[in-house]
Amino acid sequence: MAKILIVEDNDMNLDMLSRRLARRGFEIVSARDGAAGVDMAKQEMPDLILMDMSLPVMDGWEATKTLKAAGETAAIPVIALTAHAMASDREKALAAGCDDYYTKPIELPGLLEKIDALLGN
Amino acid sequence: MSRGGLRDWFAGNTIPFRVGALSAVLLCAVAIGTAFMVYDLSRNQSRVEDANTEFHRLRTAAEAEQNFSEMRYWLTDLSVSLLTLSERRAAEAQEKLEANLEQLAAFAPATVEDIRTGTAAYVDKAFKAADAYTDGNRVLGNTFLAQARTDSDAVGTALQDLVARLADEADRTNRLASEEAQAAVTRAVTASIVSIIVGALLTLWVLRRILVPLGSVNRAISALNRGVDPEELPPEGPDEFGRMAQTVRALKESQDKRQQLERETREKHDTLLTAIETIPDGFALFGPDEKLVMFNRKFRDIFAPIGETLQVGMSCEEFLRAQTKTEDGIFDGMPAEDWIRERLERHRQAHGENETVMINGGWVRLAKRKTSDGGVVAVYSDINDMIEKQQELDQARRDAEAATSAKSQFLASMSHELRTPLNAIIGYSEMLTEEAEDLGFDSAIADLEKILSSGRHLLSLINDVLDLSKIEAGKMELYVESFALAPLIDDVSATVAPLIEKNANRLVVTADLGDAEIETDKTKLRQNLFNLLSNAAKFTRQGTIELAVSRTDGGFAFSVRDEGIGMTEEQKSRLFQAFMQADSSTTRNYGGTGLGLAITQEFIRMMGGRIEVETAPGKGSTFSFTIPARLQPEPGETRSGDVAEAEAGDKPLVLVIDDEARARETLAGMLRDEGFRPALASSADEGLKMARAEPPMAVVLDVLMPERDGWSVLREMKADPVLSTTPVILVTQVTDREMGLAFGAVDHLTKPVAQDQLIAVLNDVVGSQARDVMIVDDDVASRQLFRRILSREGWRVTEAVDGAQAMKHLATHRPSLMLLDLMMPNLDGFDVLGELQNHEELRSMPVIVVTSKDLSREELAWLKKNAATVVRKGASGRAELISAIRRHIAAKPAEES
Repeated sequence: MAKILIVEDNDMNLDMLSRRLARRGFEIVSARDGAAGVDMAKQEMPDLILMDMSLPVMDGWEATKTLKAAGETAAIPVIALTAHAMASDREKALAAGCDDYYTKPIELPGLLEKIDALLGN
Repeated sequence: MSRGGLRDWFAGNTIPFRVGALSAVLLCAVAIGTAFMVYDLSRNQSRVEDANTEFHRLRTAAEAEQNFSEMRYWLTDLSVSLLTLSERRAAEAQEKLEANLEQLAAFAPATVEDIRTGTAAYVDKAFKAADAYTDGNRVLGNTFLAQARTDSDAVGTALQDLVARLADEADRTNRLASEEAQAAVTRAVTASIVSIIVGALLTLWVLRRILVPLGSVNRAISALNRGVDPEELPPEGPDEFGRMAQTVRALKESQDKRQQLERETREKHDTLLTAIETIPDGFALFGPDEKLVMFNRKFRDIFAPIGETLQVGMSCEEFLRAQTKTEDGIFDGMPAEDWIRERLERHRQAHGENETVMINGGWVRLAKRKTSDGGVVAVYSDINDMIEKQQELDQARRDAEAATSAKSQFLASMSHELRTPLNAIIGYSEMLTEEAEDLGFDSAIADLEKILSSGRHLLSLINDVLDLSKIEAGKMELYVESFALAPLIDDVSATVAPLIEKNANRLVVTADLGDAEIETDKTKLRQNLFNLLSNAAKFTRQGTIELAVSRTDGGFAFSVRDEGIGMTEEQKSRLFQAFMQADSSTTRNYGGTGLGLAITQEFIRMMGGRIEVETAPGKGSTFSFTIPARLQPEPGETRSGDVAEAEAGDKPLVLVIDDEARARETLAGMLRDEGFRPALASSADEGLKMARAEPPMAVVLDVLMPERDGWSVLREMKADPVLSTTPVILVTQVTDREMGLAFGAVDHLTKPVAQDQLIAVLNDVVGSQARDVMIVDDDVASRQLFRRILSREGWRVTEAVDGAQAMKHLATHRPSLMLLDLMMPNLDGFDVLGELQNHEELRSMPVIVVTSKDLSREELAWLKKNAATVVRKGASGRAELISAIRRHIAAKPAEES
């Protein structure tokens, strides 16, 4: 089953998202800030990354840019998790190299569709 | 000359006629008098001749008497002496007597005949007596002698009678002649006196007839000469005096007219002077020779320290020099001489631009403009109050902006703070629901779903409030992307399905879209459709809700029809207001915040469409809107993909304020023809409102308008911190040029306005403000290149070597365009743009970013939001730069603040 890296600093969101995705059979790894996320991605080489944008240490945009710039992680699809209706956030996310975005709060069915699409299922 | 002509000539020329007639009468009198006297003279002469004749006759008669006496003597002697000598002497005397008688016979023949006969008888008797004596017959002799004596006595008596008669006649004739001469003299004297008197009277009369009117004409003329109104004017007529009177009257009329004109001119001049005196601004007019022609008290007040030395006729240079004497020797950071030179240069190139200068410790806005005769009008407005007001306004705006920003910040963080726990509530409810289903805790599922739906409702409320606050703050952004419409419709239908079913409604979707794509904000379109459908579902029970989508020309039409409760007209009118539902009870019955439609309407407007509603109570409602298939980004709006090609700026806005519709339309036509964007206002108030809503590049202002005239508009604009520098061109029927200039108008056109004149003035106004560019680049070669390009196009160029210097320049001088390099020491281009955004008055200044930096998408997007155009340095960029600048030259003078 596909391995998903969730980079999220909010415990509850992380817990919820990881448990619900795990219930659907994904293997979940997680990181709580951008820098840790980059390290974790390099270490775990997940099939997909769910990246919150507002993160401590290194924000989501920066982390995504770093990942996309590094050869080995450049191909990993990144879904940005952005705040509601902030068009500029979304544009910034895409500009930083995210493959797609999903607006918080997360409604699982919609997110699952995007995950499936990026994983090529 | 015809008879009529002659009559006319006489009627028209009475002076020669009168003088001629007078001369004729006098000549006649002289001629008649002379003739009369000649006649008298000749009569006198004949009398004298008669008298002479008679004296001659008397002498002849006297001679005859003497000769007769002599003859008697000698005949007597003969009778005594008988001498032949006596006889001979007697014969001689008889001969003489006979000669005398011969002469006298002509006029007294009878007497002469008697005398002859008597003489002959006497002589005969005397000789008979002598013969008798000779014969010695004494008796006979004595007889004869006695007879002879008788005869001789008769003759002697006859002769004596004749002499006496003749003497009488001569005497009478002589007396008559002298009497007649006396009478002639008397007559001549009388006639002369009468002639003189009549002539004098006639002359007097004629002269009076000439001199009296002449005198009155003369008096009238001399009165006119003195500038006094003549007491009386001679009567007019066809003659010389009539004509003179006409001339005098014409003279008087023209003089009256001239005086009236002079009076009017003087009054006008006084009015102008009063107006100029009463304007709150300092006013000075310099002639083409740079000499001060006139100025008002306020001008003197502004230059109070040199007020006493100000006088008409002083030159601009003297005026400037006087100013330098009173201050500390440094003016605007330069030595006095340089300052004078600089100010003089500016004076000579006066162009109507406004300049803010510090004079004697006060801020003054100085506008100098050339007059048509080459002079210069200078208006000095005391703007200390305005600057204070501006500062207050700035402060108020900063406060308001800070408040708005705090509010936005608050809302953003608030919504984030609210949503984070809500996320958890919704997420965990979903999870629990799933787990309850898995574990078969069916009794808990219904409750969990209630938590879930309440959480979702709360989330939608929060989202609505956030959306609305963003819309209100003008911070709502569009994210335009291209996507297929059919899947979106399916998606919305699926999402809304639970709501539809809740009230046992049925959804009918009519959409034949195939794989039609639309380029707009997907999320907002989705939200709109969802809003309208959920509203329809909310207000309809057991009915049909229809969603119809169709293509239109250039866009898509959407409509949502329901069979719900519908609305009255009054309810409909409040429909799109935030927090308003049809009425307050609706909220209780149907729930919702009342924000949905307000948000929907705003979103549709942002997407280039308009929402409409058809409804009646109990008849359901149909909401419909059409949006373009391809949303044109608004200026400053971000769009992914495009590089460097910003839209050309708007055409310069010119506001026309005129109460006459035709004049407005004519002016609008002229403006459109020449690439300006006209805005039309029909009254002073409307014009001011429009000018404040969108400050125009220039205002074309009619002076004569009902209610409020152009002067009051001009005054109000000049007192408004935002509009005070907006150039105003007056359009009038009357020539109030000086007054207009004094009140701060930049120029003046007379109705009807000629297109070329209007455009020349506008280009002048635009040109003076627009063609001012600042080049900010640390690279000398680039700066020189830009300077060359721009100077050729007639721009005034200032340079700055980095952002810090640019900001320093901008503090004192605002150009109408900036060319900005990005990579610079001290303060780079990004920082400059950021700084510009922080200054209200600089925000509208167009900036062309010229860079060789390889820009990231992010940077590009940011730049496009904050700069007019981004141009890359390099070979291809140069052409691009020129075309970008050209666009600004051609189309966009800076929107003056």
